[in-house]
Amino acid sequence: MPTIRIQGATLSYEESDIITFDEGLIGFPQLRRVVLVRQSDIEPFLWLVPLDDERLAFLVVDPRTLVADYEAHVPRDVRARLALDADDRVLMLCMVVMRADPRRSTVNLRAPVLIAARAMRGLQTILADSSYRVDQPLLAAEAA
Amino acid sequence: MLVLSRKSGEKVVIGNEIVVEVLAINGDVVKLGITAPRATSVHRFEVFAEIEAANRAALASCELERELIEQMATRLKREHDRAKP
Repeated sequence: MPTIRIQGATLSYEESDIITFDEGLIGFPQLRRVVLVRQSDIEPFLWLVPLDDERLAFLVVDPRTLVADYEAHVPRDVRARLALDADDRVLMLCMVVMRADPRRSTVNLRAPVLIAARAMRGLQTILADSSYRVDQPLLAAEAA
Repeated sequence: MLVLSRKSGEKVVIGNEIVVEVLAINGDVVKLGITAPRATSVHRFEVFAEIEAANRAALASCELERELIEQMATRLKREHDRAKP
């Protein structure tokens, strides 16, 4: 079984866990295949781990755990880009910038990663005409 | 880089499906109209560059001590539970 390493831990995954990003991530067009890693001790965070460069891993979080009414209505180009069919479910995740000072840790609500759960295809989109911030503080107190 | 001169009302076609039209020129501002397939995303470059920079910054998180991530996870869970009715 193939494995990946995250923060010193070796984890195994299966071929069926691989999510295809046809366009890569923004600024990283070469990262086409990723796996999503859940570790109970860091939930609600997850790791988005590109298989095409084993040194890299993105910490992500479902924005709705932070902003209850987060509404990224899936832009129409995304439906086409993901070849999304009507009964597939879209998983929404946002990139986290964690810093040693927790008050400076932020989440990118402006450019969510969207994953078609059944088709296992994903992409990162930029929400147009949105007031969501690229660097929204993770802690509510800092956001006020 | 291909450089083309276009007047107001003139167009450029990219590939078979993307058409860029110069709609108006006012001083140093050019207004462009872009027609592209639905699956093609179009953004101002600054926005794209900002997201790219944010993604690069996000990569540094995996170098952080795990304890810091765990602590933040715990705080967020607590905030989230408190927010529930």
